[in-house]
Amino acid sequence: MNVLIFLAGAALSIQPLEGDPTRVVVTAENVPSKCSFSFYRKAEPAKAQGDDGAPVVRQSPSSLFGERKREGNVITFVPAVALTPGETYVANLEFIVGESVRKEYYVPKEKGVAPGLVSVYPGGETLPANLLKFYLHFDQAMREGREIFDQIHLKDAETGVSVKSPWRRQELWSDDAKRLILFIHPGRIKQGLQLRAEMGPVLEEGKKYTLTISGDVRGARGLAMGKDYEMSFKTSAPVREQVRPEQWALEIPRAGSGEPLIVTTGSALDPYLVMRHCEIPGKGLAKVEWNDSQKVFRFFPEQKWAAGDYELEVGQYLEDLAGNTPVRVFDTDLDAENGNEKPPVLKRSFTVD
Amino acid sequence: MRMNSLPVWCAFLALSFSPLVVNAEVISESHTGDLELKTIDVINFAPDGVLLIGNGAKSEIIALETGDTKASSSTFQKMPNFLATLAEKIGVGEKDVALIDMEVNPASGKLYVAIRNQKNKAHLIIRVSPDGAMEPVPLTNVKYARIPLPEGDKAPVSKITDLLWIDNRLIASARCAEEFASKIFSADGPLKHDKAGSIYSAETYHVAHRKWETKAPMSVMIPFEEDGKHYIVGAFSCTPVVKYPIDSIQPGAKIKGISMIELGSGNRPLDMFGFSGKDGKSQVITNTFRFHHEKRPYGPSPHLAFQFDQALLDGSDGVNENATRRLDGSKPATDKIRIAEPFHGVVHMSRIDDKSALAIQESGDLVAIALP
Repeated sequence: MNVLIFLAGAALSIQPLEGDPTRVVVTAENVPSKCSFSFYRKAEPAKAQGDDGAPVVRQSPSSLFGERKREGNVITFVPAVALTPGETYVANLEFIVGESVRKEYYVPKEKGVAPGLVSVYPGGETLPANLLKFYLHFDQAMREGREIFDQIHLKDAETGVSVKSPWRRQELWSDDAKRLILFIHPGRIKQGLQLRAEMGPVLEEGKKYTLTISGDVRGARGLAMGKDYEMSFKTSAPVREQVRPEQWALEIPRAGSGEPLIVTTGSALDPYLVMRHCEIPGKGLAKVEWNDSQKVFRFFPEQKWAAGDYELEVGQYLEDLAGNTPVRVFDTDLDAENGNEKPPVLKRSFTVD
Repeated sequence: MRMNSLPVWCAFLALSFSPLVVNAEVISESHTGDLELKTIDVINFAPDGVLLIGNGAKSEIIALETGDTKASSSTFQKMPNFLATLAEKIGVGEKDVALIDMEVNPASGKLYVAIRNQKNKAHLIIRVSPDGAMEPVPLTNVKYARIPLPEGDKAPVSKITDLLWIDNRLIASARCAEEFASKIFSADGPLKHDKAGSIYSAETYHVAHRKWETKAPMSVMIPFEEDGKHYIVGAFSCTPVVKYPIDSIQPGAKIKGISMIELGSGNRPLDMFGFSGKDGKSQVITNTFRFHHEKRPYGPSPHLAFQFDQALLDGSDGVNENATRRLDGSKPATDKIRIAEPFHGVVHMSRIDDKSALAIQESGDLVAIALP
């Protein structure tokens, strides 16, 4: 009889803390001494039968991590983890007679729009058959997780046949989760490796390919892109030589001007690494621009050029699209007796007058 | 990962069982405050319950004094739907939990699991007791040392792939994002809050490629000791096993790894540890994800493990181009390297002791597996 009285009087409330709907305090008042309290996520209704036809055994959901206190007939519970937008949570008081009271709390979804793919680098029409990586830029933070490697596909554009397992499945997201660096598996690029011998190269010279990023790719808020992104390109011969700064053509700016130093490299370079690993000591650079082929780079000075001698320094980590650096060839020419590497050139001098 | 390895490899572990010897101090100058873990790449343990947490995006390693040093008396039993339960405990569905890493604290026998809530990107470390109790590792008003990776490196680290405490040093393997480059980080113990260590580029002889290469990033590491000399043993994708002498990791030195074993192509190592086998022989197990599974499966699952005799890591004969290969064509080349069948389907694992390991399976169950 007492239990029924408490049932009628028991009350549950769920209040956001400091206006943050993901941080709450749950309070149960007029709680009898013998009852169980839980606060859990409301799951989708489970199927009555599993795939094998057997009945699904339903278990009580586990309560969230958190700190529970009881003072007299009042229980307070503060979850140790932030609640997740878009989810509904349930506070539940269960009494010994099997009766219960419950209260639901919905965490509003964050406002947002479906994510979009802003750009893919390299984006030229023709890419080397030993291309090492793509940069994918999204317009918002994306959902991390290895599932993305199954949502990005490479297809032979003429036969329509997908290339199997092309990616190195290591997530390399930027800090803000807006940029993914997608490596083609190096084991299928380098000659002489068993993986390449067994599966073949990911890209073959002289073919056309379509890179498809599925519309199923989701942003951090859970919304999917909605439509596929496709990029087509053809493949040229693999590049298996060092980056050769000594072969670059330099178009030198005039003294007193803010014109850029224009460098035509001859081979396509990774523009992000150009920005990091090319510098002119003593001369601050305001920005670096590049053309679609990623073979022409324009180094804009922060301040106008003074007449004098300068050096363009090239770091050892600068890479072309195939991962070759001024110091090393990414792949090895197994047939060359002394390898295929030359002493690196890491400086180009020029005079502004 | 994999700190809890063979006593003979791991000085601190051996010492921890001896009442006569005191462990070298891990942290000498800590900071007390609240700790925010925005990203976790990997976790491992140093002695005395010090949890090492790698965060490449923030270019730092956290050494957290957990205070969890009392040995548990109970043993782990199978926990069905472990990942689903973890998901419930953080208030999301099972598909919205990403398992990052797991490690048994050798000081207490409790399991630490690093996870990410896929819906809000929150990173958490959950402590699991052998009796099944779970709790988030407290991060409020805790003692820790933050070890920043050195600034100014031309190719900055973006991801820490593994951590190790060996010979009173913190070692981290790391990779860059844009640059295809491998790095090794070292900080001398005892650790001091906000005191950076040093970072080095490493070279490895690639057996199949017959060449010294600087680029391939190391996936997992364990400590190894031979004739009183300490080594890091690392495994790479596709899957050379390489040892690096610790004393070569010095400022200005060029670190060269010695390739000892070639486990075969198409595999990505996930964890590795050593143990003393039933016959008394020292063994090593590494579990891998076989991305080659569809084309050439080695078992029912792309997650499988290789076991090899630790003796294959000894000496300087049979190295580099003469390293021991698991396969000769498609046939086994040696009986010293085997597929560890009890570990089929294991996504992550950590050694409890010489008799058993804890593992999370593809099914999401947590199981204790008897070591072969």
